[in-house]
Amino acid sequence: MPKNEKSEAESPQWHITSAIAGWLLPGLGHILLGEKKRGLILMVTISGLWLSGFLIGGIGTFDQKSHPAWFMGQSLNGATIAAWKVQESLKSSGSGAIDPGPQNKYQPPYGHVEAQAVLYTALAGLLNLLAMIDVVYRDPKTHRKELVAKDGEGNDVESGNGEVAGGEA
Amino acid sequence: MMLMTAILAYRPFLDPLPIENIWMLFLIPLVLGVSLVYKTIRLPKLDRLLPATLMLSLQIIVFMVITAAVLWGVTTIFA
Repeated sequence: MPKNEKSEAESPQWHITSAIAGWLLPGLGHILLGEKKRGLILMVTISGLWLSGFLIGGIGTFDQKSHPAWFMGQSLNGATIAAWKVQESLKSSGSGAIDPGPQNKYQPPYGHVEAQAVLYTALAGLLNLLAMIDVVYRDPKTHRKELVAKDGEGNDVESGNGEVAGGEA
Repeated sequence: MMLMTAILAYRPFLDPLPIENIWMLFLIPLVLGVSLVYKTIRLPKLDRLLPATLMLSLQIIVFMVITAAVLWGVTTIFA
């Protein structure tokens, strides 16, 4: 192996900017790294889980004071911060804002419904953390080289995003 | 009648969905979502994504059912 290739392999790049993009919009980090299919699947699935939780429990799902530990999981998805701010402003918009009745701004979830909504949104956040960690360490070029190296007969092997690896190695 | 009233009064994204009696069904799409995200990240190639996702979902559901049965048995015996 030439010296410059060896030093490249020994000092892998950390994709911090892509990970931050992934926090703002799940899957965006992978798309920025060129893994479009993987990124789109992550975007649809993680955002779908988060939106489902939001729909199940309503805006009251993002109440930081009632479940602070779960909120930490929820906030691993950037959109949670915006939803939390809206929830806080609705809550402090006047007396009876969350009391039962037609005058309330929103109805907080309770019981199993609250549990499901919090579970959906917090798991969406934790899965997004997994995706962000994957983005930080993912190196599509190295990955393709590894696939070619593993193929003992010297045949071309497709990489994760469907590109033929042999062309670049 | 009560369900009808709840649906009419429902405001999307402001009020919780009236799913108190069917909440357990909502675990299935959650398991599918978790499996899909996990396999999307872990698989080097995405051509076997769907079968791998379905297999992992099935494994999670089976183990959840076994765990629930064991816990139910333990609580019944020692209650």
